[in-house]
Amino acid sequence: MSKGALLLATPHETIDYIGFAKLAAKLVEKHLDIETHIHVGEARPGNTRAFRWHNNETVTVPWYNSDRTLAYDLSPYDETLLIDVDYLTFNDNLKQYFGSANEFLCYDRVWDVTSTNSFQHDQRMTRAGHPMLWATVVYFRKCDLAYNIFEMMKNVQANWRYYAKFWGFTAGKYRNDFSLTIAHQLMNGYTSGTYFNHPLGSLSTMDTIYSANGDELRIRYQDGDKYNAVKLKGVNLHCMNKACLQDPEIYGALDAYATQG
Amino acid sequence: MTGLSSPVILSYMTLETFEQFARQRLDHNRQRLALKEQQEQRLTITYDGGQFKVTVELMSLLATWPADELLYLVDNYDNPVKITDACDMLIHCRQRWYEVMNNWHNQHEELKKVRRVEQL
Repeated sequence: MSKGALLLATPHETIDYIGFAKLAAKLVEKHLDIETHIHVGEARPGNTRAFRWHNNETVTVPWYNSDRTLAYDLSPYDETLLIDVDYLTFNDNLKQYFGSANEFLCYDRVWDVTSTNSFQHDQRMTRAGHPMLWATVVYFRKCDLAYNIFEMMKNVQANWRYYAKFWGFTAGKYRNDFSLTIAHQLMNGYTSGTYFNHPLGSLSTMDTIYSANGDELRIRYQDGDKYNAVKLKGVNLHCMNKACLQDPEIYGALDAYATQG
Repeated sequence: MTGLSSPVILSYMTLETFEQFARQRLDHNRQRLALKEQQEQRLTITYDGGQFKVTVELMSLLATWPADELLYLVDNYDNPVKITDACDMLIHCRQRWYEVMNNWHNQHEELKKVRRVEQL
């Protein structure tokens, strides 16, 4: 059984998704000891996303997120770990899922590493309060369940406005987390499925990595009108603050760590 | 009728120092929480195709299970798993337990020594 990580990146005008993918892939290889495959997709305009960074700058940029539904078709592996390019692997927790009896796993909980509840509005996705799943990291085996979930995601993507109306959420930009939640629920026979047994460690766009040294990250976060810090060591992190990842000093330190033996 | 109230003992602490102290406590508590979360994530092992959380209860059960008796356990995903060797599984559990708890303890001790998280 072949196993590996799949990363989907798209060339972008202002955000270096390809550079992030290379870094994320190196970290996966270092800690999980599996192959990686970076698929560089085509930039298809249409979706946009507004980011508010830690310095209070707000930018609206194109958002190329339509390839995720193709992950099953694109993956060259029997067992795949599909990860976002801004997901930084610092331990081998995810290694244990390979070779297990699970067919499809994703995160159903998020952990704000700053404990400031930054993701309180991302816990539920519809007016009725349906719990939201995260498409950031997905483990799947080539099997009927995974195939059907990704095919269903394509259907949701193609009929976004219909599903938005039917499920009761605003049909703004297409979002893979929503699409995955719907597909996962339906293909599991209208029940909840299986999830990673720990929450997804995440850093919001407003918080920043201000220093990186080996597998140790120092996070600066705003708490009211003051700034506080938290230290993480060996923690996998979904770093939604792309601006801080693009900082040459931070990127350089992470890349040096990922490259060293 | 009540008598005179006892004199107020003036504190040298100002509201600012109270606030600073409270913030430091909050800071520490958040760091403790982060530490707990990151360490608990590592307290799992895969064995005989199942995934198990390493707990004191699991280790106690494995330690007392007769070597010649079959053992079935329910894993984290509610799959019943046939355990081929309870003694060997216990060794794996203890190794993981020691590794995680040792690291957790060291980081916790380090945290206790500092006043602000930035000093870590």
